[in-house]
Amino acid sequence: MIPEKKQKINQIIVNAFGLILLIWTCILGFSLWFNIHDQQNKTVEVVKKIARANFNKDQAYRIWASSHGGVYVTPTQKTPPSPWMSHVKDRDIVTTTGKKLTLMNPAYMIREMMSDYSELYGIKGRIFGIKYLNPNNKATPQEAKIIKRFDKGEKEVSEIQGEEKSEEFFLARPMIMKQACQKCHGHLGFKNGSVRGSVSISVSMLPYRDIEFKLLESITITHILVWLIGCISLIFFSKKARKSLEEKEKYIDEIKISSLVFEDTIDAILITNDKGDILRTNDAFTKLTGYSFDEVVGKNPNILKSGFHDAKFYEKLWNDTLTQGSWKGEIQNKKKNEELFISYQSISTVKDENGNIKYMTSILRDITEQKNYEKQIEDFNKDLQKKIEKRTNDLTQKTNKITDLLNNASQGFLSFGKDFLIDDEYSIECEKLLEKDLKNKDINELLFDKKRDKIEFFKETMIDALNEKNELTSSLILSLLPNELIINKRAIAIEYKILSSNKFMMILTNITDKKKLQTKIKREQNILKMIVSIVSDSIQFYETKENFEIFCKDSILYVNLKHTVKENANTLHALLHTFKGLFAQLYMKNSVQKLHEFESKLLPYIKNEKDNNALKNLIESFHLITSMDDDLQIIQQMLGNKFLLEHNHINIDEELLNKLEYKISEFCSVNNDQKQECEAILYDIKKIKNKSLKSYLSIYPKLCQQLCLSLNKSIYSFEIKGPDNTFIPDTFKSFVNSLVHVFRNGCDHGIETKENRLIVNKNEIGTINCKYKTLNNSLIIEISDDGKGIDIPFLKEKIKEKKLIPEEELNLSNKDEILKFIFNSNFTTNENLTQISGRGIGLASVRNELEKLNGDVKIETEVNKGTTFIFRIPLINN
Amino acid sequence: MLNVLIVDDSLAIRIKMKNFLKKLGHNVVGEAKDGQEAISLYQELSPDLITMDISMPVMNGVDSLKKIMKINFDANVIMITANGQDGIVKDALKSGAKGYILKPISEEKLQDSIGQIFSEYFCDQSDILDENDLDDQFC
Repeated sequence: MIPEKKQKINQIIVNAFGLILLIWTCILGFSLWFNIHDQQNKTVEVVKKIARANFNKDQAYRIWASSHGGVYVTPTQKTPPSPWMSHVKDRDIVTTTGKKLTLMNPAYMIREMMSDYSELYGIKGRIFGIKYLNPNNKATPQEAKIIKRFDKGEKEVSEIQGEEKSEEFFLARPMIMKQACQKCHGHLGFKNGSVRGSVSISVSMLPYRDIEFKLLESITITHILVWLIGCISLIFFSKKARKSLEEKEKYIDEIKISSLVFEDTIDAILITNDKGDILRTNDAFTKLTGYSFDEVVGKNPNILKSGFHDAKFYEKLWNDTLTQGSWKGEIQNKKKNEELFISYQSISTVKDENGNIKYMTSILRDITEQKNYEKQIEDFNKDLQKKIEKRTNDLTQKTNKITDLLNNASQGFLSFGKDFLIDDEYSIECEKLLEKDLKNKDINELLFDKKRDKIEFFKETMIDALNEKNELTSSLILSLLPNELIINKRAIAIEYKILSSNKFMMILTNITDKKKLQTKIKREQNILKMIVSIVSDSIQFYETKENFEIFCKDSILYVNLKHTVKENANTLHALLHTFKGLFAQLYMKNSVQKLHEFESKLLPYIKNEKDNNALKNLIESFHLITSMDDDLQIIQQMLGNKFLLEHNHINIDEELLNKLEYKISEFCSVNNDQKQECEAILYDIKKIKNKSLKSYLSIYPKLCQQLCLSLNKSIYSFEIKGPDNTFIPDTFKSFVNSLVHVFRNGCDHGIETKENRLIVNKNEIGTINCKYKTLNNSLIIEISDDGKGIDIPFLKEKIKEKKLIPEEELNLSNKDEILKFIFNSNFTTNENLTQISGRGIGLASVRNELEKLNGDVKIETEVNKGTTFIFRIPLINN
Repeated sequence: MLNVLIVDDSLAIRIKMKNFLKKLGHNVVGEAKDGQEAISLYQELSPDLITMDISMPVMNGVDSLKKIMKINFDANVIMITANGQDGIVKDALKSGAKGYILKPISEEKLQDSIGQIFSEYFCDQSDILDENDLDDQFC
């Protein structure tokens, strides 16, 4: 129930309870008051009666005594003859026996009795008057007032006097003068019938009040009990009343709601009794069927029958309703205007406590519209299905077209899931690149064969990239995967993508041709470089070629059995090394490679591990002379046989030279990135015939650049500085050629790596310079670098270690003398052998050549500043 | 212009990196020699970007990265790696690194990597804005 209603009921109950309680309390209060009052009155009445009875008794005594003219009694101490009756004649008499008697009048008599026996009675009596015999009977002012009231005609005065314990009932009546009284009181002058005074008695109220108090007590207790019983039953009834009120209210609410639902629901409702007579219908029923309540009341619901359903249908309907208590289903009915409608109807029975059907309710919902919608939806679905079918067809066609496109693209597309098994759909190019029928094959095995660590990394990385939510990170992770692989001797570029469907996609591109082309270009580039250098430096080429041929013929002679195998091998090694350097200078790569191979084979002999015979066998079996064959063949192809056969002078057909130039320029136009280099080569071709010292030295700047590049160092490009017209005799050529080792040394050991240069606060790009001049008939060539310089203490250590000179001598040596040791054969300070230098042969061959010319060398070096080699060769003797 | 913290045990690489960054117009606010130092400098300087070498003494780059990501999960860290460290790089990327540069470092690689992270910040320099038709929202 809603709280307001509850509160309202509460309010009513509280109000009624209060009012009834008030009335009840008033009634009982009044009753108590009345009873107490009544009791008090009764007490007073009783006391009054008692007082009157006593009074009358006293009066009787008095009247009797006075009518008998008083009583004579024997005077005693206590009752002497009354002094106030001295005026009476026969007050004192003597009996015949001589006994003295004295008259006692009623007043005297009563007074005596009162004073002696009032305790016994509990009643006090008194006589008083304004005129009196005995002064004891003199009226008090209050009593005088009472006497005056009697004078006015009152017959009796009664009142309650005093309080609490001394409370008394006071009754006074007038004393009327009679003839009998005249005997004693006649002298006071009262006439018969006049008020002479008053007689009063006082009855103590105490015993009566005690009784009364007990009565009142029980009355009060009774009243309180009755009041409490009343209150309790009031509470009880109010609770009951509240409950019943609430129930009633609830019931009313329910009825209201029911009736509201009944009236306002959009469903038509009809209620029949057990016989099927319509008792109630609602507005919706009227709206739906067109029948008003008055039209259908008392009739059977079969007035709605449309005749659409057969008897069996109704049989089942009633059967279900009666046995199961309800029936639900769609039913076609007829409206008043004969129009048919479909309704969803539910019939249920309401039973009484005995289980007999009391009412039957039918709820009808008009679902005609719904049915129409259903039909519309069905139609729509059918239409949609048709459309989807059409779309699917279109899509399939499109997919086929896309597949065609992908298949005809030169790239392979394939996808796979977390299991790394290739999906059904992949482009045909994939089969060309990998293998036939890729469906469900493991991509890992296809890409990496059976290299476990690579497969593991690939799998992990793919899954990581897939799980990574950040797109950038995901793409970065993918970039860790190999982007080029060689599979089945094909170079394949691979792109990785993550598809939205949590699948991986790979795009494979065959780059074999591109790679081949690159290699070819590289090779051609090298060939062209070689040709240019040979042509531009043909003299050196011929010399080198001839010298090498001579060396090869005599190579076996270098194995001198008188010397140790180590010495022999070292000699061979030194010579080969120079040739290697010369070949490298001429870009004869194949030859360089062959010589390097042979050098490596010599190593065990240098280490004294094998004997001279074995060395002889090695030289014979290796055929050193064939080392140049590959390069010579290329030169022959490019420059013609004639070039190789001619000696000492350049003899190239102009036509061939032009062809070469054309070929280089064509090559340059294709390879833009090497344009500068190409232009340099073209420039060199033009300078072919220039033969000064400068032209001999001019190959070194380029050499140094290349060297440094391959060592991941960098130097500024430099030019040879010196007069152009300095020509050199042929005898100098070997020396100038051997200078290659100084330049190599400068690049390899002098110039530091970029990082190391930065650490020591130098420009990360190094500098190498070379200049020459003639002075005092001497040729001076200076080669300098700004590298790390030569570490002299370290050099000393090395000398000591290798025991090249006695220690005492070493200690006396000056800086220049120590530095000369770097020209010693087999002296290297570098721990690692590199292809470029480091075997300690290079500088030794420079010294050899220098000695041949009676030359001299000076080395200036400073740590972290650089090294300068100054060669001085006398020109006169040469 | 970004405030960059360089973390590398090699002085040479630090100098090189500094030069590259200066050339690219950024401001190097600090240099750390190891991962531990990097963390304290990061808290002190809160730079926009960190270049972090992977192999370092005391604390390696990946551990340092993980600690920094705990301090600020939005920190921008570029790992500097050598060949053959793919597994470690992947770990770093998963831990929140925004990019990696394979040694030897070059100005181009550095520029590309920074560009990938800060593409939105450098939008006003990109080609997109040249076409006035496009709204600013593309930036």
